[in-house]
Amino acid sequence: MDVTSELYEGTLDCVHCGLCLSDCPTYLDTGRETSSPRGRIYLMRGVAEGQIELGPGVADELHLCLGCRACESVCPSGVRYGALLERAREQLVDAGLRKGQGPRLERLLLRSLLARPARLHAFISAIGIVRALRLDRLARRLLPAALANAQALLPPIPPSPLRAPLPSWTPAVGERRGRVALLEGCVMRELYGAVGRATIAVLTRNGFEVVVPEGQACCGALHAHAGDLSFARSLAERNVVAFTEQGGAPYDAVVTHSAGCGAAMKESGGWLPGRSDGLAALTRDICEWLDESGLVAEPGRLELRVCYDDPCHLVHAQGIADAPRRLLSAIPGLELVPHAGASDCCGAAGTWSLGHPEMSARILDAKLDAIEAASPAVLTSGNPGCLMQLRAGVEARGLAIRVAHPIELLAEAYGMAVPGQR
Amino acid sequence: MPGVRPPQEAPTSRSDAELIAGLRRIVGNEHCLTRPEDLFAYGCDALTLDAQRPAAIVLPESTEQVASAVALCAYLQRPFVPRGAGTGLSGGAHPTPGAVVISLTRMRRILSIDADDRIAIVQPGVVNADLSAAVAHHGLFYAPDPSSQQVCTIGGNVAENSGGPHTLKYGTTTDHVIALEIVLPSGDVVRVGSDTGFAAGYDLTGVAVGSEGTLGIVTEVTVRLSPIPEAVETLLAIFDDVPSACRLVGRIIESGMVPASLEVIDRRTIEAVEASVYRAGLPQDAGAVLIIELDGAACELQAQLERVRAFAYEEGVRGLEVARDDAERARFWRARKGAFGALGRLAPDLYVHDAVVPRTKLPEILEKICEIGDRHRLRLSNVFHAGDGNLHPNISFDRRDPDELARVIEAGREILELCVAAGGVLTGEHGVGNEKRDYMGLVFDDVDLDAMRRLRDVWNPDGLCNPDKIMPTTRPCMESNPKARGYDAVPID
Amino acid sequence: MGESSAAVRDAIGRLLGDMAVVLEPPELMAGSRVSMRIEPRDAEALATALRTLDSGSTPAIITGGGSRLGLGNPVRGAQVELSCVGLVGIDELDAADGVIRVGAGTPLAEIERAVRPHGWQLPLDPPGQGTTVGGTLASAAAGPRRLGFGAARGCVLGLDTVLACGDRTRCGGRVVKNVTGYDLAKLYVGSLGTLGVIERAWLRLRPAPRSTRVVVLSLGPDSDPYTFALAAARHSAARAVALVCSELADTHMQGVGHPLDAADWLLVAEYAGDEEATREGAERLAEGRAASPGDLTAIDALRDLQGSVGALGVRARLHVRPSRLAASCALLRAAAAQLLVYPQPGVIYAFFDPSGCGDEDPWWLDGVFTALERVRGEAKAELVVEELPEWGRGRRDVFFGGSGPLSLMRSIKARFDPNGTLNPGRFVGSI
Repeated sequence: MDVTSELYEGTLDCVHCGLCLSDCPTYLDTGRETSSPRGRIYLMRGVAEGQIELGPGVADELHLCLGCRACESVCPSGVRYGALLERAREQLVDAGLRKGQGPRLERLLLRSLLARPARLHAFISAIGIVRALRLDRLARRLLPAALANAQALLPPIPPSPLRAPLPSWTPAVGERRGRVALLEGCVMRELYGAVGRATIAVLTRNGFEVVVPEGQACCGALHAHAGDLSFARSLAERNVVAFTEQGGAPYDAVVTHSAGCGAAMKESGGWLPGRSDGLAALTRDICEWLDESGLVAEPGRLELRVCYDDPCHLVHAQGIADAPRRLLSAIPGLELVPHAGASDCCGAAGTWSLGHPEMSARILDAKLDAIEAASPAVLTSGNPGCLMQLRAGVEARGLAIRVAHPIELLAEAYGMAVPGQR
Repeated sequence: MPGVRPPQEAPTSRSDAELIAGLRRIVGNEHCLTRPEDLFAYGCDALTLDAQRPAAIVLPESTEQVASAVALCAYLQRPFVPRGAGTGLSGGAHPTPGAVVISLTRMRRILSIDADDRIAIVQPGVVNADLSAAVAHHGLFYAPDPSSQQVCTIGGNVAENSGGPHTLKYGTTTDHVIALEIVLPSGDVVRVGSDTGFAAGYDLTGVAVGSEGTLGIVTEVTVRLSPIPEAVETLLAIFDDVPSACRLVGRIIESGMVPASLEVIDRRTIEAVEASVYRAGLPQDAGAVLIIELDGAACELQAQLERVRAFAYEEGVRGLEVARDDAERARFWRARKGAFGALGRLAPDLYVHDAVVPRTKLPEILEKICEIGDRHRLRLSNVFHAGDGNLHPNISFDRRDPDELARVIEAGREILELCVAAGGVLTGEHGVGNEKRDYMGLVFDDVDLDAMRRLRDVWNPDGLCNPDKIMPTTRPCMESNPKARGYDAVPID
Repeated sequence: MGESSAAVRDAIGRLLGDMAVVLEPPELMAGSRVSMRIEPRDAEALATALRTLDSGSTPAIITGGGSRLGLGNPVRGAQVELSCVGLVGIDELDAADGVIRVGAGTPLAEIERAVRPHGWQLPLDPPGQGTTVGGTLASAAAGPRRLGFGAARGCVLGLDTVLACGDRTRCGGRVVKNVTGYDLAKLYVGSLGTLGVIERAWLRLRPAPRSTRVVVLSLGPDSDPYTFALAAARHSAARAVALVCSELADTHMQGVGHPLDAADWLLVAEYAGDEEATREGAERLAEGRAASPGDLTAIDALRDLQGSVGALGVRARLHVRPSRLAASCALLRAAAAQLLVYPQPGVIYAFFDPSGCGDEDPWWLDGVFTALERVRGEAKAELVVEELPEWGRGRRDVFFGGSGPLSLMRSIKARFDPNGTLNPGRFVGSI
């Protein structure tokens, strides 16, 4: 960070008004200025101006941040906090301030596992086997704490048909309204294959031909959040090729069913200036796209009491709050019940919860209290990290609440079988 | 006088080690912060000029911990500075070098709510808006609503006697606080006031509210809650210029109505708001927008609304919108409450002034303020509480440019002198802090200030509690003292 | 008067000239025998007078219109009265802004007359005749309309105060919103002249209401008068709501034109504001009850009652949370008190009548104080004995020791009036 950098210029948008404080999970948990968005921006600015050193304290605070970006939603000055955080974390890595086993392991997992579909598939299968053999308790004792926590957070491993690649092309049902590409996603494919299938079904029902382009990569969001921007850029480059430079005529939209992936793709213009702008402009969250284009197929009745919990990277990073609610409300019989703090972070934040299990649990607790008070039959949210965290929390409390992606309910309303229902 | 001073290094010595060890014993390691990053982050509040570094920050969770920390500071003769959310705009929570910051953000429990008697007892770290949210189901709210109410704390509001857009009708914090628990600078704990609203003896509650944390640290606040009005009407009146908006304000007030609020934002502020997340769909070519909020019994509001409407057309309003529902009301207010932050987009720094003038002098004062801004080649915009004459001239600037910074400070001085000469004062709701203390001589003479010192010295004899706030460091300037010139009947041209 | 006091008096007379007048014979005032009255005509004269008194450590009783002289403990050893009635005059009335600057000796009635034609009212309504601005503020006096007007301190924007040493100081200002410096006005208001002498004040006026309506009705034994009255007081247009017990209503409220037979309480309510709101308030209150439309004489009667005291009796003012009204009133009734109750914000005037007891019966007085102490303890009331027979003065602290840190209050007194010149002994804990 220096006074000529783009990062420094970005920090100057902050006028230190503090309106972000009450929306920051780590400030609310600690009460500390240093652990608030305003504090972190001030630290970045202080480092650039040479008022403080880029040291372990700065590194700790920047990694304590969940990256939920709730601060961006309330920032009157329009500070692009998420982008600042990614840049600052990258500089921490460059400065060698991310040392120790945890970060090394994280980087290894992100680069060599998450971004490699075959390896990830094998790994998830292995976990499935471990669980089937009831070895998971043993594993919990043997594995490093962070890995053990991660294992515990994973939902039941879906059967392999659901973990197979999505069909590369599915025709529209009825009159064709357009042609969209779907980002399959790394975690989504392995753990939430049913969501992918539901997404395709709902899209085709509503007149869209769905292509799942060859050669697409992980979106790179988790890598960027961890400060591995260079790897994120390489992934983005592959996606630019897969979604905008092959496959004939341009797509009407590139649809994602994961809020984190959608946010990363929409902002990939910042990683690859000029190169990725086209992809960013095409990207739509599934709920956003359906809301924008309108449902042509009438959903059937679902007598359900449903809560919708905003994924941070949908509501704060993409500014989408109403579209999923409108979609759910379009299902006859479905009662959408509000719960307090719906747009507050659930404490998952990608890989953050693995490094901060206690604070994550406290943040999740507040969320679960609100959910419990609303007592829905189904709790919906549109991001794999949130789905995992919420499911683990609901299960730990022994609540009889199903956790699902909104698109799954829509698919059910269209009368589709629900193979992956948990 | 505010300005960029090189940060002074905190004195590190054996006494620092002793202090920090003691503080850690009181609040626990986790809640005593001493990393360089922490000392830097707590160097200022929302006024970033003139930041300094404290020796440590403690985040106590109880009155006992506050009292012990204060007693330790008193014993070691170490200055200490209370802090809420740090949203103050006058540097009231700025530490002096080597001071201990006592942050109340972890004392954020609402201790009791009595809906029948309409009072609540809260810890100082409770966020203003959270209190209103917590009592809403009783049909009650906490009336003082500073623009930062989503984040600022009740304790900070008490220290600054915070106002907000609705003070015109509901008054400021002092009108809603009836009792306090205070840790005196000696470490002793006292209770002042009473939950009946009256306490025999000197009005120590009234004196403590607005004392900017210099008389002690408030650890418990008993507040009055107000009934949510039966009906609310919010209007957005669009004018070609600020004087027309001010004329409508005059018509409304002189007709005997007491609206809940009368807020004006000028053209430059409109532009900034519309470019921010708080955009409210205001016409960008308007010269001024006036938000009028009427509240009260449903039966009388319609007639008032019609009167306002008639006045507005007589004063040449360009457009008049009445909020149809709460969502639209929220949209009007979003523009007003997000204005400061939105102005932050215009430049790296924002200087928010807070002078007050007699309401009837607003148009001419505003014109002169704009002239001052133009003369100093500054980007100056105005947001103000038109009903009570409370001005917020905002200057967008870049403090890294020393020449511009000097012009900002000079313009600020001229604005304050102008307002005082018109019978006004330095601050209506932000406090004097360390920002305006050297301007106190514009309003008060030596004898007036001496009376204030008498009060402060009784509570804070060693000056350890929030030093360098309110009282000036320099001798007041007699030339500019209105009393020396024949009191305050100084006409402006 | 002893020789030494005569010497002091002569010295003061020489220094102050015309403004000092010897009282022959001496007058009994606030528990002291006063033989000289000083009546400054302007701020500078007031400063000179105070400087003179203070340099000789001569205690003085500070007075205004004299309507609240009974309030407080006896002033210790005062032989001089410093009267503010000469500090009269309206310096400035800003009819557009609704603010006014007045001398402390100005009678409230004069201000009211001046502001009315401009559509304003002064939100102060203390009981008593000839009350002055200074006296009202120094005693923080409020009348039946405290519900609508709020406490006296609320209308004070700025004060010019002369300290014991003769320093002329100013705090606050003329603007309606101000946090410039310590809020010393809060300290002076209600301090009974023990910290400084209020010389001049900037006050905030209120728009005069477009309409007012008074309703009088009686509440029988089977009703819950407190809940009913509290509900009436919580209408947004309510400006004054009072409950008067039947005994007091018989003696003081006959003129309001409402039959009292078989009633336990008389309720008087005043609504002020826009026509629609006052009508709604009055109608809602009177619904299904035998109510009489009243007029402003009912409010005047309340004010007179509040300021009155039975022959040589005791009048106490108690502040309680509204939810404790019933319990407090029950305890007071059991102690034979007659009551005037303002349910919001929870103020009770308790009148104790000694008739039937022997003359100057200390047992009776002790009994009254014991009963009051009990209410204070059980209902957590704050209380002040406002009037008591002359023979009973000085026996007990009429503020019951006050509430809050007395040592801090003593330190404040010592810092503002180190020589004990201003009303020494009169305030809480005989400060």
